[in-house]
Amino acid sequence: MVPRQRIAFLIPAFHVHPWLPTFVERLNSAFDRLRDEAGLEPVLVFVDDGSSRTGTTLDCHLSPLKGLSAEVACTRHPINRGQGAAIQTALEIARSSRVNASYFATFDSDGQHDPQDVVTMVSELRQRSLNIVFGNRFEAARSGGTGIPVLRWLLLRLASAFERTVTGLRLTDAHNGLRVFDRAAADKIELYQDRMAHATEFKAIVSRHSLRYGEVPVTITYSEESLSSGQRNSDALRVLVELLRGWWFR
Amino acid sequence: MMLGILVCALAVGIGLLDWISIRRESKRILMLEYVGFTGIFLLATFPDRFNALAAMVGVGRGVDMIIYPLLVWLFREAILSRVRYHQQQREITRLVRAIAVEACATAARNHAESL
Repeated sequence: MVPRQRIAFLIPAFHVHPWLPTFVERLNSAFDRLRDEAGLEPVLVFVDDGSSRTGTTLDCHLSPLKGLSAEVACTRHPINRGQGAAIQTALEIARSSRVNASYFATFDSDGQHDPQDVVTMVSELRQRSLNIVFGNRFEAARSGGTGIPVLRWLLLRLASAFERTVTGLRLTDAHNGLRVFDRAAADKIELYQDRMAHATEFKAIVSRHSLRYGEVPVTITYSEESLSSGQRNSDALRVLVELLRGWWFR
Repeated sequence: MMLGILVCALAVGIGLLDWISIRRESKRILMLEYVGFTGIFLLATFPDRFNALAAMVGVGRGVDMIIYPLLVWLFREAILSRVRYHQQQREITRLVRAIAVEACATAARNHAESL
């Protein structure tokens, strides 16, 4: 019997609390759909980016991770290096002969993404023969999904306009952590931006290597945890400075 | 004149302090520092001669002969230290990532052996 192709969920985590059983169930339900509908075997690559706060260290995540119906590879950065660095670490593990994934999904650890969206994104990626699919929160919000805070909506729109100018990619959602890509794209990705500017770098890589890309409406749930652990509105300027620094000093 | 004496006293004082504190660690650095201090000492002691020399070269005052090259050096040093900082950050990330990837591989090997 030919082994199933694998899809690796790349999950960077920094100072996030362990997943609740309901979220683990939602993940397992999405894993089942990936097996049944896409014929893919999910693998979860969890990278703790040097969390030190009580209740957020890697040990605390092990119990919910054991509840998953998929193989899990987890590791820890000895010191915090940022989300971009943690995604790159997860990607290296997923590309290694141990996991050898054919598809990859970057997925935030704070529970803001709906795991079911990954199934839709994989289907879209395959049907349209794309290399990478980006999540777009604006479509779902327009059709009655979870509302985006006004200031964040404005900043994301500005960031999208900036990225469109810099990379030439016509995408709507600048900093959506949910992306699905194939092996061809994964082999091209070497993130230089360790911290938050990696989201723009993803698009620069797509543009540089002329990868085929698309967007799929996804749902983002803004909870207290996701708003506090994720990017703050004030981080927009910091991302811009990081991008300029990376450009100058690379 | 008073300023010249103060500058000389400062150079001698710092020179002595460094002789005591860093002479065992790095004699070459100390030598380099003393060469610089001697220049400053001469400039402070014979300002008129340096002014005449500066007028010949066309840089205004004698002290400008030190300040302009110093500005060039400081600017270069600031840029280079930024570049070095980013290189070091990059290397730290590579190291952290390598440790994490290796830890994951080791855990997998141990798990496989325990089965």
